[in-house]
Amino acid sequence: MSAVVERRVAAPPVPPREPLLPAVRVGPASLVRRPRVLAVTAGFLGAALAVAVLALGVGDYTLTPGQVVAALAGQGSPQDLLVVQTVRLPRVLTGLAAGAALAVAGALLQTTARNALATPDLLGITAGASAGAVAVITLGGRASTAGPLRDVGVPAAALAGAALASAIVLLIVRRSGFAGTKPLLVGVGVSAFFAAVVSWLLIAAPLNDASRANVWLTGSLNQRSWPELWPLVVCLAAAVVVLAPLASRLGALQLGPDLARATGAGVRGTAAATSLVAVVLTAVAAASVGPMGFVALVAPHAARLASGSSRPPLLASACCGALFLAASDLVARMLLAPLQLPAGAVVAVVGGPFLAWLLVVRRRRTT
Amino acid sequence: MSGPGEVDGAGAALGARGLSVQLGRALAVDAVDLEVTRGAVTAVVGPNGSGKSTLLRALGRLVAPTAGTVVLDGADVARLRSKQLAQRLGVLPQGPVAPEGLTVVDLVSRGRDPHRRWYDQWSRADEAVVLDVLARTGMLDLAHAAVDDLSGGQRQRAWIAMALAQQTPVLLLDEPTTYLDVAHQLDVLELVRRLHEEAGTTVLMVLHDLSMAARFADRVVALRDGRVVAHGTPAEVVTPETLRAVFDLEAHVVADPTTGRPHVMPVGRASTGPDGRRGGGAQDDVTATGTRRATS
Repeated sequence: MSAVVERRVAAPPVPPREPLLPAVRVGPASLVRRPRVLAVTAGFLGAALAVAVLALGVGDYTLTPGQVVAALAGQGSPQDLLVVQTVRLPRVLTGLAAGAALAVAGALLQTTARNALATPDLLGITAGASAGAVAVITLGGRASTAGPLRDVGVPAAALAGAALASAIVLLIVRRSGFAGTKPLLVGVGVSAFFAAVVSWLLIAAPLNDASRANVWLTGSLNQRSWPELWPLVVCLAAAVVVLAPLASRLGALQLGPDLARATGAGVRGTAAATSLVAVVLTAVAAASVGPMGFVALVAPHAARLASGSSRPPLLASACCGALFLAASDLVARMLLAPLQLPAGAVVAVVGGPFLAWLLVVRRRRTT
Repeated sequence: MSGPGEVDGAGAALGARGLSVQLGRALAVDAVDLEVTRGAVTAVVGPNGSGKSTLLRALGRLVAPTAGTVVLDGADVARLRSKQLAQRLGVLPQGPVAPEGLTVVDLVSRGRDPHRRWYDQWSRADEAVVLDVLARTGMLDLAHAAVDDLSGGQRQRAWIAMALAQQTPVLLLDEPTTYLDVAHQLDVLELVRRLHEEAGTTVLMVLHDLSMAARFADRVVALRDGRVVAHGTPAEVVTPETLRAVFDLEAHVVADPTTGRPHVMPVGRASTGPDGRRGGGAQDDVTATGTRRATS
């Protein structure tokens, strides 16, 4: 067999030319260099960081971007340090991390299901997470406003709800497969079911708890602090570790199960791993900031269209999601200041038209 | 893994032993024993719903057999790891659809997947092989075009290039000429033939057109109702008797003036004789689920 292979590599001589794909090669490792994806990723990342610096300076106690950077480096008045590092930093970081997590979840599901509409929202995962979190908030009452019930209970319940919802969807579509419209139809049904559970919990709960749950349901970064941030950071780090070896297989999954199998990708294993990562990221993000509707749909689309790829690039999607959520929160804080809108409202108001605009522009270009 | 097949280079590269595949309630492939001759181009023919595609998919491990085994170079295919199998056996399913915007070179480079590690995504060998297969399939100038912008014939060449980039000694093609006009059918089949002659690849392909099968294949396998009815050279298989038994077709078979191979000239539908089994509704269902687009 090896003789045959070698004979084939020694191809009929081809005149020297530009490489087909430019590559970066270091030792045994190599990577295709995609300048446009890199530029788009850097652009989103830079914009996200700029928004973060702005957001750290905006508020009752205003700082210039220069003062913010100095405060981050540990320089400036004690009050600057307090406001930037203790009060605002966790909130801004939570926004960035939750946006990145939702965007990656959306990108993974869209690629695995080979459907641009396959997002955690439409697949029922977000609704499951909401039901779990609302259950803890309403049934836990006062105890869920602080302490372990808030720090561990809400994320754990959101994760359990998300896992339950995705398990139901997977169980129903396990024979017909994950591609196509069926998972979405099932997901819409599962969403409706969990939305009903949420409604029932809200009606049954005392008014205080119900209104707290309602604020959570809109999606907000108000008063987010380190306890909301840590689960996100841990899960994002874990996602990087899990996804690094899987990222190259996403391209095979995108060709559909037959061709993925034909090119040697373990289809079930890869799809299971990416779906699991997506469910966990969605649940943790929802637990931290509430169900932020459009991020998982819009950010991967924007990243894909901006970079001209056939599937959403993961890193660019993450940076785009971080930018989107951080910017939405900044707008929500500034729009009716000192009144603070929930960021989820801005996400929805900006996200919907933005997506429509993207699709219209895209259509014009292709036809 | 070094079975008797590997020692004897002239033997079967790929074989089915008592292979059955059940799709829904019907048996699409029914206890098939088949030896695919090493280094030959074999065409699988048969009426709609005869189980051609399902047989090919089972041989390529795209569907799991209900019974029996598929043997590749003496090794049970079910025991191989996905990557190992993909290094030794390439499968191109019927009517593949590329994601929107995917370029030819990105598609073809997927064929390198079984040979690369996750951290080694574009080695010099990958570049050399993809360049080579693009040149051989005549797709070099279109390397950076989007697959969905190509014509049907070009698209099929791109997919074949992807399968070739896997550099497998055995290649299975499911109706590589679907949706192509006659000229492009010839084009694709000549390409397959040439690639086979250059590299000695064992090719098994499902073909609809009997004359094309007779012209481009060294061996022809005729299926009906999931069973092998005839297997041999084109001259042995493409005969009026076999056509009647397999397709219920009354036809003249003449020698093609250019190639000397059998050429089929249909006369009409044969009346079902005493042993003529007509493919019933159940078989049509099998086609619908097994090959998705067999009838269109």
